[in-house]
Amino acid sequence: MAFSLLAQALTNGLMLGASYILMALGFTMIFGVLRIVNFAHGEFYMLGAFVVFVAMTQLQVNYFVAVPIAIAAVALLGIATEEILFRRFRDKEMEGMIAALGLSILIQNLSLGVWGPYDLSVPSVFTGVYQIGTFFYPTERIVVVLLSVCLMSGFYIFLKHTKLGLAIRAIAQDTEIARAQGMRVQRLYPFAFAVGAGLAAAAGAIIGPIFALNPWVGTMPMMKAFIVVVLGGIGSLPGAFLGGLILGVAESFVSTYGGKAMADMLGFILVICILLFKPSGLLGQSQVSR
Amino acid sequence: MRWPPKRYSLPALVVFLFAFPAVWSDEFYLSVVLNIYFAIILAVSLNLIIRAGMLSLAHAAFMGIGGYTSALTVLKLGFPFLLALLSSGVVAAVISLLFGRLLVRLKGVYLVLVTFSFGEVVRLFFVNVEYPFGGTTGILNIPPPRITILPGLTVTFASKLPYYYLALVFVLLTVFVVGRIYRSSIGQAIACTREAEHLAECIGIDTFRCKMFVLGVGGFFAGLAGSLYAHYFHFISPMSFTFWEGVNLIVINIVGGTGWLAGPILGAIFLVPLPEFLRGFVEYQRALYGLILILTICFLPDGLWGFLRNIRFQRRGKQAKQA
Repeated sequence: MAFSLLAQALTNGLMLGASYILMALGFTMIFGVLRIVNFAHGEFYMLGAFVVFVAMTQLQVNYFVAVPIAIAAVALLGIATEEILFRRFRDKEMEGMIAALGLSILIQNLSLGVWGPYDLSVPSVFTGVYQIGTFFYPTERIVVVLLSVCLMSGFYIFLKHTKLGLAIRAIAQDTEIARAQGMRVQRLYPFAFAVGAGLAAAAGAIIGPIFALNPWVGTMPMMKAFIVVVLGGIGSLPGAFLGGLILGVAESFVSTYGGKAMADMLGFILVICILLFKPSGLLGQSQVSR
Repeated sequence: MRWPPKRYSLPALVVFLFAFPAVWSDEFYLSVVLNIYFAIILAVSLNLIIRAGMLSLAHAAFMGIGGYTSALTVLKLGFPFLLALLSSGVVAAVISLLFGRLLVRLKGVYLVLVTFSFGEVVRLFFVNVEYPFGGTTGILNIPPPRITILPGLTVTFASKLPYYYLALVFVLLTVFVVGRIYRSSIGQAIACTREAEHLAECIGIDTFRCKMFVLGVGGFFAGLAGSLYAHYFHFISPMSFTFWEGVNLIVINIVGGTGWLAGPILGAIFLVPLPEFLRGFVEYQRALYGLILILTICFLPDGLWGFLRNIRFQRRGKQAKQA
C-alpha cells in the first residue's frame, strides 16, 4: 500500500527530526550568542550518552535519574570549557572554530582512552512496539519524541519567560546594545554555552540508549545538527526547529525510496546550495555583511 | 658571518635527504618518513590555499579524488604510472577549479563550512557509487608504480626504499613550486588578497583569478599526493580521506605556522611521527594531538615556526645591543 508507506515515512521523518532539533538548538544558540562554530558539539552528545551509561551500569540508578545527571555534568563541563578555552576567542570566529576542532579531537580521544574502542550498549529501557492502525512504532522511538518535546518546551519557556533567557536573546541580537543596557555579557557567555552543551548532552542521553555506544557516536549527530542549522539559518532558533523537521522528513523519504547513503549525501548538497545562494538560511537574519 | 652559509644549507639538506636512507634504511623509520612526505605534499599545497585566505577542510577529499583517478586509470584503462599520476593531478585540479567557482564568493566561517560539506559530499559519493569506485571497500590491489626511465630500463617501486626516492622527488617538486609562487609577484598578490581583498582589487589585483590559481595548483598537488598514497598502500577507500584527515592537514598547518612555507613542513615533521613514538600510551596519543592544537591556537598564534623565528630575532636583537 503506497499510502501507508508514505505515512509511515512521514511519521518516521518527524521522529528523526525531533532528535535532530535538540542537537541543532544548542549548536545554533552557541553560534548566535558566542559566534563559535562548535565542532565539539558532537562530543557533548557523546559524553551525555556515556554519562547515562556509567550512571545506569555502575551507579545502578534509574534512567530518569541518569538523564538529568548527564545533562548537569555536561553543562558543567560546558561552563569549564567556556571559561578556560573559548573566552580567549571573542570576536575571533576562525580561531574559535579551530579551537573547537581541537577540543573535539581531545574529548573524543580521551573517551577512547577511558571507554575503549568497542561498542558498549546502554541497557534498553523501553521495549516493544506500538501499533496504531496499520502503523508500527517502537516504544523507545515514541519516548524519544516525548522527551524531546518536553525538553524543547522547557528550553522555549527558559528563553521566553526567564530573565536569563531574555539576556541570552538580547546578546544574540546585539551584544553592544545588551552591554549598554547593563548586562554583564562576559558573565552570561558561560551560561549560554552550558545551555547549548546541556542540550547536546540531553540529545545524547535520550537517543544514546537506542544505538550502540562508542567514542565516535557524536560525529554523525554533529554533522546532522550542522546541516539543520545551516538549513534554518545559522543562529536562528526557529530556523533550527524548522530545519530539523525538514531534514528529518526529507531523509526519511529519500532513504525509503533511495537508500541511506543517498539520504546522507542529500543533506550536504543542500547545505552547499543554501550557503551559496541564501547564506542566511530559511529563517535567519542576514549576517553575511557582518 | 652566519654558519653554515645560507646558500649552501639548502643544497646540503637536499643531499642529506637523498643520502639518508643509504645510511639508515630501517623499514620502520622509512615508513614513518614516507608518511611525513605524503603529509608534507598535502600540507604545503593546502598552505598555498590558506595563504589566499581560504581555510579548506576539503583538501583531503582532493587527495581522495587523485587516488581514485590514479587507481582507475591504471587498473581499468591500463595507463602507465606517470600518465596516471599526471591525470590524477589534473582531475583533482579541474574539480578544485569547478568547486572554486562556487567557493570564491564566500568568506570566513561560511567558506570553511562549505568546504567541510564538499569534503563530505565527495566522500559519500565514493561510498555510494559501487561501480567503478567499489563503495565502502574502495579499490584494492592497486599495483606498485612502474616507471620506464630509459627505453629498456623499467623500475618498479615495490619496496619502501625506492618509494622513498619517488616520494622525495615529489616533495621537493611541491616545495619548490610553492616556494617559487610565494617569491613571485603572484605570491604578493595572494598575500594581498588575504589581508585586504577590496584594497587588492583597487590596486588592480584580480582576486578571483588569484584564488582560482591557488585552488588549481593546490588541488593538483593534492591529487598527486593521492596517487602516490594509493600506489604506496595498494588501496584507496573512502576511509582514507574522512573529515578527520582534512582536519589533520589544518592542524599540521596551524601548529607549524601558516605564515611561512617552512611552517607546514615543520608541522608535518613534528606531528606525523608523534603517534609512532608514543606507543607506550596508545589510547591517548591522538588526544595529545588535540591538546597541541588547542595550546598552539591559544599561546602560539604564529605556530611553531613563528615562535622559533621570534626567539631567533630576539637573540639577534640582544647581540646587536651588546655590540
